[in-house]
Amino acid sequence: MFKFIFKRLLMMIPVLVGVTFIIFTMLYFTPADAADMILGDSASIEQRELLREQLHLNDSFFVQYGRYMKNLITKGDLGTSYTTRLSVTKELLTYFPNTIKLAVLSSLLAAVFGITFGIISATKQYSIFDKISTSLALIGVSMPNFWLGMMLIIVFAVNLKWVPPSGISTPSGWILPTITLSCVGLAQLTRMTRSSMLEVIRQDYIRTARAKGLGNSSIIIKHALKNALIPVTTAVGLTISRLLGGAVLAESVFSVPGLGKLMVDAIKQRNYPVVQSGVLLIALSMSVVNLLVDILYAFADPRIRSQYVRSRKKKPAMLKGAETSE
Amino acid sequence: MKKTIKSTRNSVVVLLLVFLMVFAGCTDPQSPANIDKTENTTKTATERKVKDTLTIAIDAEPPTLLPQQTIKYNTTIICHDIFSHLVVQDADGNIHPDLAESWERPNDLTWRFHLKDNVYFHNGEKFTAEDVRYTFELASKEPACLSHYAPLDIENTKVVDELTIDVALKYPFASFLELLATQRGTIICKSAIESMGRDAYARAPIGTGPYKFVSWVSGSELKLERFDDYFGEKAKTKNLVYKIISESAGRVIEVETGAADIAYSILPSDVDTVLDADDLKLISTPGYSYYTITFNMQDEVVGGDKNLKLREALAYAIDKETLTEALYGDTASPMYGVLPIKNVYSKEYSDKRYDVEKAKQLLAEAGYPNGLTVEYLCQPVQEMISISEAVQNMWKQIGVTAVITTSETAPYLAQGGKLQTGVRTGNMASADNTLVIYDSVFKDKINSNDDYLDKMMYEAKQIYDEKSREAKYHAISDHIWNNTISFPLFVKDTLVVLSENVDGFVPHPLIESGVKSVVVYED
Repeated sequence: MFKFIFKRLLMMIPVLVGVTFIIFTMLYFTPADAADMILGDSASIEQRELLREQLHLNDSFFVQYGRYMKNLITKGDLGTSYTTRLSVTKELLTYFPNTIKLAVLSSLLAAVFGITFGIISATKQYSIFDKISTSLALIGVSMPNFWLGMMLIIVFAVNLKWVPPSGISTPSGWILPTITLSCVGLAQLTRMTRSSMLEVIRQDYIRTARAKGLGNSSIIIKHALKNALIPVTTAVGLTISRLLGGAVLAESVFSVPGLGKLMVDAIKQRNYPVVQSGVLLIALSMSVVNLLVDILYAFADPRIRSQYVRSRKKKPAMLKGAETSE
Repeated sequence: MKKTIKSTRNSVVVLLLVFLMVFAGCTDPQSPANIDKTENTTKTATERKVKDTLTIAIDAEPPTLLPQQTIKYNTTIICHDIFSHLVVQDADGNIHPDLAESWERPNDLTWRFHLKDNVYFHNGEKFTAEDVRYTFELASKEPACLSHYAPLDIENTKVVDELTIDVALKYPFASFLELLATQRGTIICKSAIESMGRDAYARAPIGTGPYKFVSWVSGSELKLERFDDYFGEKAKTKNLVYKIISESAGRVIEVETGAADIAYSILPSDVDTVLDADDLKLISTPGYSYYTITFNMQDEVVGGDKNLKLREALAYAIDKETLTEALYGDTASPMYGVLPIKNVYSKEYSDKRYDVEKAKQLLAEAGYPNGLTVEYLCQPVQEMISISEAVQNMWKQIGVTAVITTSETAPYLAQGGKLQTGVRTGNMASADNTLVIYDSVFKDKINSNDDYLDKMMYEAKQIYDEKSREAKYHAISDHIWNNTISFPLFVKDTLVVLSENVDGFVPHPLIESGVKSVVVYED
């Protein structure tokens, strides 16, 4: 198992290096630079040149890239933001935790309710609950989340005054953004769980269990659910990855200082160090999430676990004459 | 396959729901009712309890609080609370003393300032001429300020005594006082910035202003507190919180729910929401942000003396009043001059320059009786696009087709004035500020390459005699207006939303920070 994890971690390195190279190249060849953006329209040529020198924008492609990678590998220094002159690490550490919190809370909400509704829909297929939840799932997937966010603000913050309209300075400020972001995930997970459960319920071994006389709930929870959850785990992993990448629209609507908004602003301002390091961070977290999901598979599904774990001692008496896959 | 009654009914229900959702999105456009264009009048209710915190919603985080580092709007307004200047400029453009009590010019190349005594920074240090000299030295090396400080001779600028400084110049600099009244002239604390280091100082500044810095939660809010040893009139409200809310509608909602008391940077599209709400007040004052059509004077088709008639034709085809009314209602005013309207050097022209027939005639005289196509560039900001479409339509009336291309801000700035024509925004805080877009040194979108204009602008900055200076600026204005180097459209109002509990807000278009006189009541 550990070998597998180690191999995966090693594989991440070329991926991340490749990501930095691609992003750096794209940024380098995009027209206009940070000096223009920071100084604005009416800056003299002399002023722009001075700022370009200060930000090392006149150095060649490989010099700039080399400097960035050297600082990253030897000192763990991600550079300095062009607009605020703060260290990029500090900026990311300020904004990323908010995105993590939002991503985790929303995914949790989506997973808990999505899987529950999916199970109920599957077990009570074609009932009124099933129809309603399928329609709501369809609406949830199609609805633009910034519109939902604004509607929630108008209803719950302006009219009912139950929660603050924006900002996360109070704990209740997290409620609306979490609900808004969980919607798409909830809808997707409901549909995914439902279809996966339906498939599993039709399997022979479930029929056997029922024939054996096991109660319905025990069949669903002990036998069906574990098998159905495998594709659902992928979906949950993807949901978290998507949200970690930054839900820019929801962050704008609710004024949550998160990574998505930081990245969009940085791209507009050609704030290269922040964009580069931000993308690196997102790539890293998505890789980690994928790795965790794969490990989770190993725990959930013995068939997959056996591929990762080689049995140390072969018991000759048991395996004599039997085919082994390794 | 038979369709059952039940499934038909279900389909009908779903269709009805869909239609409902579609129509819910359509609303009636309402015309703006009366907008308050005057200051608040003082309320007489004396039993109302006063809050100790004033919350202001702003649209973005200031990149820094070191005033000389950037001229971004949010840095400007917050720095205005924390710092002071040597002089201040009122809404009519007149200069008044602030940190400097008086000043004189012993000769053309020296400005002598006498500073106020017993002024202290937030850290208890006394304000002296050393701080002024340090400020100028720092500013003259900052990318955002160095060209503005070009006339200063820092080497020979001397601190005469604790409260007197002789600023030396390389050549006469008449607009020095105007510069000192702006953010670029903000006085910083020498001892603090030297001990804290520039980056730390930029995140936790020390100034002489009515409010001192308390805390800054990145991306979220900034907190300030009243400075009780302020040398001027003390601030009325003890605590000041600036909340960062990126959506204009979100800022309005913040004030509506009472989570904020004032909101800045309101878009014209939110004006109706504000006017409809019972407990919100909209302050709309003529601002310093203006829009103008510019021409690339180096372009073959539209530029230079030979194409004057074409530019005039394009100018005469625009109906500024209708355009302004249609796009902004009451919140913008058409411009009939090149220079700032609310300024000592302002000059407006009586010729409204809207005459479609004359435009067609001029176009024919220019050699295009059958019209022509021009390339038009603007940034993909909704406002610019709306203005551009209106302009495009008006030019169509005389047979000119404008091909509009939009370009993101960054590549727009990078293409360095290659456009033929386009719309841009400018700032008219002072005459120099307005004219900066015509200056070859700035290589801006005008590409005027006009030696005469450059010479005039250079001279105007150096004329100390008010009457002569005014005459020079008027001559510059005439030159630009008569040659139609640009074609100004309108000045936007600055829009601020107040909750009904706010009193004493003084709108100042350059710096919306009349907040030291603001009092907020409990509901």
